[in-house]
Amino acid sequence: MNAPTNVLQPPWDELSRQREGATFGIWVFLASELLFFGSLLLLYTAYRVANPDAFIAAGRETDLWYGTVNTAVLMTSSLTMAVAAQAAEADMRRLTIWCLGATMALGLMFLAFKGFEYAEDIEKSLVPGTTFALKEPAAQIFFALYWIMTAIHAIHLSIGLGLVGRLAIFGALRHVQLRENPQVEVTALYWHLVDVIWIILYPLIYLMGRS
Amino acid sequence: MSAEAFAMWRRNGLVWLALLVLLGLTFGAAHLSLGGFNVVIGLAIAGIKGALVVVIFMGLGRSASLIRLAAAAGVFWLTILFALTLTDVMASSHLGSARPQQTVR
Repeated sequence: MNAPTNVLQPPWDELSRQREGATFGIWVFLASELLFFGSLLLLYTAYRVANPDAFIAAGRETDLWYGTVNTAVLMTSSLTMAVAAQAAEADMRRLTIWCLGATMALGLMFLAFKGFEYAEDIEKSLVPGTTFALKEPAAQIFFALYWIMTAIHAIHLSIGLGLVGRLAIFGALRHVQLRENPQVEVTALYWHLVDVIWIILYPLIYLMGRS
Repeated sequence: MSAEAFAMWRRNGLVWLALLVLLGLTFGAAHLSLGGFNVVIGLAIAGIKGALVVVIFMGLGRSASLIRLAAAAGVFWLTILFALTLTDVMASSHLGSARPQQTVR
C-alpha cells in the first residue's frame, strides 16, 4: 500500500499557513464565480423586467417536481459534505469517507433527475428554435436562459463530483491523507457554492406562475 | 456512533432541517396568489437558505476577517453590476429606449 502523500506542499513552511492560503484562494475564486452566475442572473432580471408575462407563462412549463426534489437532494448533499469536512478535521477517517461517498451519490442523483427533466423538456419542444412550443417570442428567451444556466450549473456540479470522488477514492485507498488536508476544505466550499447557486435559481426557474 | 459524531450530525442536521422547512415554505407560498409578492417571497426565502449554507456549512460565521472580506467583495461588485445595469433597464422602461434618439433639426 502506498504511503499517504504529505499534506504540506511548497512553498509553505507550516500547514496552518498553507490552510489559510488555500481557504483564502478558494473564497476569492468563489467570489468570481458569484459574479459569473450573477451576470447570467442579471440578464434574466433585465429580460424578465421587459417581458414579465411571457416569463411567467414560460416558467409554468418547467417541471416543478423535478426542480423541488433536486433542490432537496442538493441541500442533503451539502449536509453530508459539511459533515465530511468536519469529520476530516476531527480525524474521523471512516465517517469522512462515507460522507464523501454519500455526497457523490446525491450529486449523481441530482444529475440523473436533471437528465430525465431535460428529456421531458425536449419531448415538450421547450428548446428555443423554430419548433418551440410556446407562441410568445420572449418565452424563448426564458428557455434559452434556462438551458444555459442549468447546463452551466450541471457542469460545475460535475467538476465537484470529480473533486469529491477523487478525495473519497484516494482517501479510502490511503493515497491521500484526509486529516487537516486543505483539499477537503476547498472541495467542500466549492460544493456548497454550487448548492447556493441552485438555491437561488430554484425560485426564478421553477416557482413562477404556480398560483 | 461516538458522541462526537452524534454532535456533528445533530449540529449540521438542524441546519438541513431548517433548509427543508424553508423549501416547503417557498413551495407552498408559490401556490398562493400574491401577485408581485410571489417573486419577493421566493427570493427572500432563497436568500435565507443561501445565508444558512454560507454562514454555517461554509463556516463564514466563524471565518477570519480576510475570508469575510473576500466574500463581501464578491457581493459588493455584484451589487454594483446589478445597480448600474438595472438603473438603465428600469429607466428605459419608464422613459423609452436607451438607444440613441434621432435628433430633430
